[in-house]
Amino acid sequence: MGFTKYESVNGNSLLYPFKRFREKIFRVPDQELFDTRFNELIYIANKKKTGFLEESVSRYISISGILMQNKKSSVSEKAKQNIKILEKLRDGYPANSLPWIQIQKTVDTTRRLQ
Amino acid sequence: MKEAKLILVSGIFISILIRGFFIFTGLEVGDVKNMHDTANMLLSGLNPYTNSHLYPYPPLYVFVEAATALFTNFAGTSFHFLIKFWPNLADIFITLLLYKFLRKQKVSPTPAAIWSLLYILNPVTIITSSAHGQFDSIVSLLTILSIYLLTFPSKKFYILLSPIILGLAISFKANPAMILPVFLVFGQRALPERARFFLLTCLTIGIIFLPFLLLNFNATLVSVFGYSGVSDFGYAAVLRALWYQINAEYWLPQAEDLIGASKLAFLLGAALLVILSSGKDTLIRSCLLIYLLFLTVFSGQSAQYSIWVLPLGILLRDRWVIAFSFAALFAHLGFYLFFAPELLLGKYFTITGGFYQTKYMPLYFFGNLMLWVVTALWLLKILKGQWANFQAFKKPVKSLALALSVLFLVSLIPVINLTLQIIQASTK
Repeated sequence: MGFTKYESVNGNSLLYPFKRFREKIFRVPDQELFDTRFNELIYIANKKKTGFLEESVSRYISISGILMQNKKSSVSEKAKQNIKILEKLRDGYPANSLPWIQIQKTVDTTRRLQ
Repeated sequence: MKEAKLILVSGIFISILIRGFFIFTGLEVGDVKNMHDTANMLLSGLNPYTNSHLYPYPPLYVFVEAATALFTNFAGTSFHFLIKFWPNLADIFITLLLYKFLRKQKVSPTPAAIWSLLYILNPVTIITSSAHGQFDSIVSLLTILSIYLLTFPSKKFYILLSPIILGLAISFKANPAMILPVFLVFGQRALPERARFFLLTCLTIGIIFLPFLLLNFNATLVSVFGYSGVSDFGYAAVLRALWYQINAEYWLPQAEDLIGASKLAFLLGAALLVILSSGKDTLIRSCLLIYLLFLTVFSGQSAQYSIWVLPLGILLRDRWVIAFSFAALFAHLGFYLFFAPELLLGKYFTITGGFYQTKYMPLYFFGNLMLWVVTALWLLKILKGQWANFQAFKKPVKSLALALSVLFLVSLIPVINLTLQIIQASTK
């Protein structure tokens, strides 16, 4: 499966800016960032922290866009796995509710990575 | 002497330039908007206190607001631009008064000028008066003036003027009421002299309140005395930031309970500090102690309360005022960038990305954590020196102080309990 474990620091944490700062300083590869943003999104959606969902979705879509621009074919398999998990997460919310729509956006974006 | 004056004038000039930027780019939002609405109500012949939550302060500044609104109409300019003139003018007067006070305390001219500039160039006073438009500096000016007149009564009527000026300060904002007991127990004065001070202060406040009380007795009392503050600053802000991690909710559900519990703890702690101050010639230090206790223990704090301690710390030439200012700056930036960027940056507020941006919450958290730690350590440092006085007390006073110490510690239990509950709920 594409999801192995939660990140220790997620978008809701007060330590999150330090994590982002470290990523920028150490120039973490885009592919690794893609996995990190995905894991963070899973945490926020699974724990029903919907107040942070929009930001997590934006960050995930943003790194997906960067990978699309760079045409990384290696993420295609990962994208397939992500879609399965994201669809499951999406269906945990009532259809057409705001979180459902936000997660659906990530599904649509991830499809373009296949 | 000439060098000191040059330093003082240059500092004030630089501060005016910085303040000018904030005033000219400001907007009529937040408290300034409320001030304009209050002024309009008064000018329409209505008691502003009948509109609950619009104006929670004592009435004296209402007249300043109304006069400013009238002048705004006459001059054809913006209210928010003119209303900020008064607290900034007060900041300049505070700086000059601090210099005069320090010189009276036999401080050399140049160090006195540099210490005084620590107030006018302090980012916290600049943000409070120029960006936010709050008028706590007017209250501080009158409080320091009252202390000055009582400390250096070179003319006999200064003794009568001091309580009247303190009464005026309380009629602007209620915070000097918490240091009034310190004024009463200060020094080696006879009981009638202390009673006269109390009566003159109360009489001044009473005269100013009277028209509003006659108009709407209940509404006026409920508006002024029913206001318990908001949990924007201090340890309540730290708890709010921790709570935010659960699901981006920036209101603390237990805020009211925490304010109630911490109010009792503060009152007991303040009573203890008043006893420790009795009969001593340490008026400035005692006032500072009460304010520091308030900032450490009470949970219903607003951003502008930080400036109360600055002139007192400067008068004592206590270097902790620098650490306090530094921590308060971060706490202010975090607060305004997250909750009210339009107050800090005026028409440029959109560069922050808008309201309630999660990225500023860590600054709010760490800034307030640092501010609370510095405030508590500063309090303990001064208290350590003050505690030496305890040995000199007579036995009944000693017993009373000990009883109050125990009660204060017991009253902290619900506060600590609530705090731990919030931390536990926020971090699980």
